[in-house]
Amino acid sequence: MSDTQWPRFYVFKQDVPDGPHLNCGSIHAPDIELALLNARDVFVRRPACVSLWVVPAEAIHRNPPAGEAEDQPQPPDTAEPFVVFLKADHRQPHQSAGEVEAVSAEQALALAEAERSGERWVELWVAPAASMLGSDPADQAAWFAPADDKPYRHGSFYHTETAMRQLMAGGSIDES
Amino acid sequence: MSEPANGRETQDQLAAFVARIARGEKIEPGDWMPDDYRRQLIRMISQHAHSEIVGMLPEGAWITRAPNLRRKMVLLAKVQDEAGHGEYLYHAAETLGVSRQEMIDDLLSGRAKYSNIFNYPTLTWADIGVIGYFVDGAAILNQTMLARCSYGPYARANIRICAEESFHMKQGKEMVIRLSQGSSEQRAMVQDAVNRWWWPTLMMFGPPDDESPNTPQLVRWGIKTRTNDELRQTFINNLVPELRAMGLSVPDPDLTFDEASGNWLPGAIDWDEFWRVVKGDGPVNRQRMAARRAAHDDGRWVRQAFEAYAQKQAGRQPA
Repeated sequence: MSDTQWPRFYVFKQDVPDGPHLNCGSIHAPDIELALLNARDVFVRRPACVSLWVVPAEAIHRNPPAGEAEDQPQPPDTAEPFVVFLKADHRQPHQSAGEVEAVSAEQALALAEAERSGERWVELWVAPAASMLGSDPADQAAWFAPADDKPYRHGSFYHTETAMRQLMAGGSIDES
Repeated sequence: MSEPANGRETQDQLAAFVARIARGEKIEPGDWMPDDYRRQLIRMISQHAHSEIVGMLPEGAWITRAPNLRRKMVLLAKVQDEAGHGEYLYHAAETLGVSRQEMIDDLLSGRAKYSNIFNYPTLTWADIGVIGYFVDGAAILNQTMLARCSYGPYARANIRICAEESFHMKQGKEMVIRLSQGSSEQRAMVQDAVNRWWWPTLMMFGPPDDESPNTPQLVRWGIKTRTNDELRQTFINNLVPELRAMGLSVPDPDLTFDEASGNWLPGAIDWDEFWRVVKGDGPVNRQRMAARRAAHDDGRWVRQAFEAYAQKQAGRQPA
């Protein structure tokens, strides 16, 4: 078995408390818990983030369909919540846009699409809420606050432009 | 002409594709695209990703030797960013249908290329400053262009990378400024680093336009919007006045200022050296690949442990 091709998880990051979760990329991990940890290290080295979600790539169903038949297990008879992700136009990533209750991904897509009749959008994704893992709100500070303590990760921490202006003017640099 | 270009792609499809790009639309993963567009992007994005990963090696070697805690934290943060940039880019390449395993295999087997600049050694602490200032500065010019490229996932990866690279460039520039205004030993050390990194950095932008067969196609497809020579000239024009203001010299006796164009024109670039290093005969090509392979092998037990844990957890879950 290969140890360089783990399952892929899509990562969604919420930047402000009431904002949507925005797709920021994907991550490979052997399980969903490690996917969430890896996602923090890869996508949240800097502020700001209040919540992260990871969703197994195979749990995401898209509309319009990608063209290949998907071999999914039989859907349960009872309805379950699906999270909807909407790509509104060609310049924006997919972002979370509410939930629908459905017995299958196909039904969830149909419901999400019906809710948006008349609206313009490029692509819808749905994923069963049960397939996803999100960061725990109680851990928000422990998970994301450390990024605040590292001002040296930002270009604005370095006063190189001021120093260059002083040197260009023939002076010496202010060492403070 | 409406016959298929290569059996599957018709002139109509290609024309519609080029028109989308001309309208400024982003091409997204599920969209139709010419095979060659996909192939060129996979080549470019995976090389870019490999460069971020191999790029950790020359700097990582100096983390334990950083002269103080501030510089050590900065260097750690920078090297960690490079790993993250590799991840953003591998993700962008994966959206085109290439697997992570294929890309890693290609890097470890030596089939894939990475930026030539990392086949030069970091001999002194001043090299760390000059790499940030020169190499990251050059990379930002290239990535700022790629942040506007026609392929959505690659453009978005570059937007995120550029925001973070600004810190990389500035921490290096700050070091070079400080060393250039320091003791005579510090000035000599930083001048020596400038002398060794100047020419390899100019080569980072790639072969001259008249020897760069892919460029016109990449420009037409909105992947590149500026040529290698244009980017190289911008870099030289930015850097020469700054180095002179710091009292550092540019190691190019033929460098002249052209009043008419406002450009600093460099002397002849040694493209024989460039191709020699690309083909594997640079100062440290073998060491870099040996270090990368050793890191992969040494990390195997960690990957196996994670996998065993995941299997054990899966086995515990109720069916």
